Amino acid sequence: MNQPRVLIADDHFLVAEGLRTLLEPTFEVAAIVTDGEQLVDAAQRLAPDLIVADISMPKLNGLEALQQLRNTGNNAKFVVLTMHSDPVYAARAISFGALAFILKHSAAHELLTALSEALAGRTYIAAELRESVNRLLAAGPEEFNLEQRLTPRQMQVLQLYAQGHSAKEVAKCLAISRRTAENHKASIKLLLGVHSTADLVKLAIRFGLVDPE
Amino acid sequence: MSESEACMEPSATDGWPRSQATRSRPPSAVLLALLAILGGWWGGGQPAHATSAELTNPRRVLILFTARPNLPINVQWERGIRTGVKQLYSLPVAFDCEYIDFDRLQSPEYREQWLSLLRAKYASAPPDLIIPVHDLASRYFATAQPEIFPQSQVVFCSINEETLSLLPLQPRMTGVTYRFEYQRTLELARELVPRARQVIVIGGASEMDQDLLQAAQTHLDKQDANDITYWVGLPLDEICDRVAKLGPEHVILFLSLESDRNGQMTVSSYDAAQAISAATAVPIFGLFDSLIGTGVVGGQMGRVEEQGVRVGTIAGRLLLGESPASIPFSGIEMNRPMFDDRQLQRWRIPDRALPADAIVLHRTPSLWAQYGTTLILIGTIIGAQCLLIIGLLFNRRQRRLAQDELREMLEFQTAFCHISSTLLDHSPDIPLLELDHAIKRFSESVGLAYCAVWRMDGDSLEVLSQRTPDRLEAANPPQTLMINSIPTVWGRVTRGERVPFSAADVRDRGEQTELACLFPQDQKSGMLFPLRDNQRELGLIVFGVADSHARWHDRLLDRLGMFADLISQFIARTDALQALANSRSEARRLAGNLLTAQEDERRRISREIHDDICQRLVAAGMQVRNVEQAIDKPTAALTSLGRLSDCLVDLSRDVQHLARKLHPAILDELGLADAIRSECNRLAEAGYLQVTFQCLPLPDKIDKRAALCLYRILQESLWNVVKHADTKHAQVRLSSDAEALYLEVTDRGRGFKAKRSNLNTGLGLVSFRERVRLLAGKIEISSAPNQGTKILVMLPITEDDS
Repeated sequence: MNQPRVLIADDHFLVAEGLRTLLEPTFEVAAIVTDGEQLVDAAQRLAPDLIVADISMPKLNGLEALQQLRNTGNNAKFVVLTMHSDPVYAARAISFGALAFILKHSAAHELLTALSEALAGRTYIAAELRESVNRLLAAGPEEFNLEQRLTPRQMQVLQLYAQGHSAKEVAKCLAISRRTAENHKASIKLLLGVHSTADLVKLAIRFGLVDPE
Repeated sequence: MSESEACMEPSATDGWPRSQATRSRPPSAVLLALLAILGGWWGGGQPAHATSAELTNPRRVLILFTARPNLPINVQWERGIRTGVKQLYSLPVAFDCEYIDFDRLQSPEYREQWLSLLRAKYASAPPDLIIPVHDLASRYFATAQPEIFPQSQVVFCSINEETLSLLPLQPRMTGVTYRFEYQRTLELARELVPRARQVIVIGGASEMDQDLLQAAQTHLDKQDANDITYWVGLPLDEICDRVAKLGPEHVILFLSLESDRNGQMTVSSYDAAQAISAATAVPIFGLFDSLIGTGVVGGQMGRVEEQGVRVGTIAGRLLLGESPASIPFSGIEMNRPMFDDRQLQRWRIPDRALPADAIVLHRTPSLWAQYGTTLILIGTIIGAQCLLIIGLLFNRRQRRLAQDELREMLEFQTAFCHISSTLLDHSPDIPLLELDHAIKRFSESVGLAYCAVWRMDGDSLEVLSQRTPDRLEAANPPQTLMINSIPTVWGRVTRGERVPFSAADVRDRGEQTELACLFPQDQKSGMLFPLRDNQRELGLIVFGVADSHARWHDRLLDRLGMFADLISQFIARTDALQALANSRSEARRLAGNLLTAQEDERRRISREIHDDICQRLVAAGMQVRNVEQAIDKPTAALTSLGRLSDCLVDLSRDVQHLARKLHPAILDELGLADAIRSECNRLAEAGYLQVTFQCLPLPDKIDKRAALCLYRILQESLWNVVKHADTKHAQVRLSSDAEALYLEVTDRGRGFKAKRSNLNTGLGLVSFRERVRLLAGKIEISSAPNQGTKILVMLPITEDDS
């Protein structure tokens, strides 16, 4: 029976060798690479069933390599094995398409489980991070109301325009160039989805930037 | 009569020379005149109907004089006649003059020849009008030869009314008569010389003298003849002797004196009158207007020229076609009292004694009439000079006032320059001492009784410096004051207004009561000025004047205003210098702190590596040794290996933690947003702080220095919230636009007074500013007690992202 083929990416030789030792009974180690570029290259070339990669690596880090692979249509099952016990890393890895996120110091206990889950197409996150990561992922992409879409500067610009100042006056008031002031106005219209200055004024009133007259 | 007239001035040579040649007509002119007469006698003779013949052939007037042509009296008559004609008749008139030599006329041969000469002379152009002048000519013409020119009309000139009554008059004759007013003249003499009781009448011995004398006697004898004495024919010398000796009760009536009884001729009656007048002791009166001027006082008389004018106007009327019969004889009514002003003065006869219709000749012009113009001129010049002098004096006074004012202003400006230079160039160490000096000098230079500078500090005011007279020492106002205790006054100060103070108003007005807190107790009057710099209130300055009724002149107010501005600048400058000094010391402290902090950090990490990690590695090494020794005993070896594994895992986690402290790898690997999210998450999981993180779209590439800067500020500010804000919540917002990256960290915690942040001894906010400044960004920290804190960092997005 063919063993699943696994590609190992870690810039630490000792760790990589440790992993090979750990995995060889169950997997066929297709290659060991030591940086992100090699990882992308080997993954394209060898088409492994599974990739076990660290994040901190020279040239491209593991997550960047993952993004590149996904961007080129490579859907190899990807397991992140890292020192970073930070749920943000894990959440980011999952969001990029990794199936498992394992911490090196708990690899001995969790790696094989995580790999088999990943092979089965299921997500596995290191136990100590699982709760935090799920919370982070549950939060999902942020939704902003109109008012929150603007930067502080854009709010100032909007207020001054709504008060009836010209671009020149706005520029003078904020010590920026007139062109910058005009660019701001254009951006604000775009961000708020309005087309006329009158609508801008209405929104400024709604935001409480100016008094309705 | 006419003889007397004629002989009175025989020697007068100043008469008009009469040239016969000019009177003779050229034959052609005579012919033309004849043609005109033949062609048709004009009807109306109105100038309006004048034909060209009338213009070229003037009407002719023949004047027949009694006496010789060179007599001045003839000139007066002729002038009068010509004037009179001209007044009425505007067309040309040809005047011809003939003189009857009276002496020769006595002889019949002469008369015959003279008449035929006359007839021959005017045969071709007989006169339209004949004017015989005076009695003899009139009488001779009327009686002897009235038909010499039968067609001519006749106007007698100056014919005695008595003579006239004897003449055979025809309808073509009219004229002007005269009368000698013997009685009236005598009456006038008596009226004007009331003391005169005796009248001396002086007459001559010639035929003409005798005629006049007899006429006089005839008239005068009708009344008080007793008072009248006649001196007839006396030699002139004798007359002069006698008149000189006459007493004041006499008055003289002079008739004429052509010759004395010895046949001695005088030069003329005129000269005789002159001599007698010079000698006489009493006034002399006369009958003819020509005597006026010789020394005769005057009398009732007609004027020769006036008679001539009357004749002329009658002639004019006749030339215009009136009939002589319709014009009656007249002329007597022209007689009037006439006097010589010089003689009136000589005999002290006042003007008021004269009859109302009197004519006064030779009126001595009054001083005013003589010198009026000169006096006016001199007066005007003197007046002008006076005005000039007054003007110059006024000008000098104005100039002195201006000079005084200028000097005073110069002194003030010098003093003020000095004050401002000492104030604005002061060494920062002793500003208050300089301020004290400045207030003292300024108070002295404008005469202030009191002056104090109040500095605003938060919600209170305190006296920075003041100048007080010694006597006020005990009554000084307080040295600090809460602003809310003077709300009205402070309101005006914030509006930049000046506020006058009057102790008299204190009871009535809230504002004045507030002001009273700022002035010494016995200060009666003063003025408060705001101290401001760029619309920012710095405090206020109060000025007190000694006099309670002092008026606030514009100039004083200007100067107080200037001083208030100066003090404002001084305070602003002192603040700026202070701030500069503070920021320098802050920078020094920061540099020192950074060095220390770096050293501290290195020491801590070194100690951590040495004391902890090395020890644990040694421990791990010893565990390996244990495994070696217990390799025969699998159970013990496994236990040791398990312990070793745990030890190494812990070790790796701690080293990773240490590394993260040194540099956050997540910033490089996941970028700014995830690094911040991680940090927020870390604090939340540690249970320190619940952080809401909003991240708007960011540029793909962010300058690493900017990212690190924002990350560090975020770490530090969140940690500040944990440590100081006394809240469990914070909000972080990361955004960007074309201009900049923005990081906002907001909490609703305890907050702090913005000013105190400068006093932080830690790296805190000072290091924020330093980090941001290095990247040309801006940081705004706003906080108020119990209002939370907001930190906004703006880092410009630069093109050269590396």
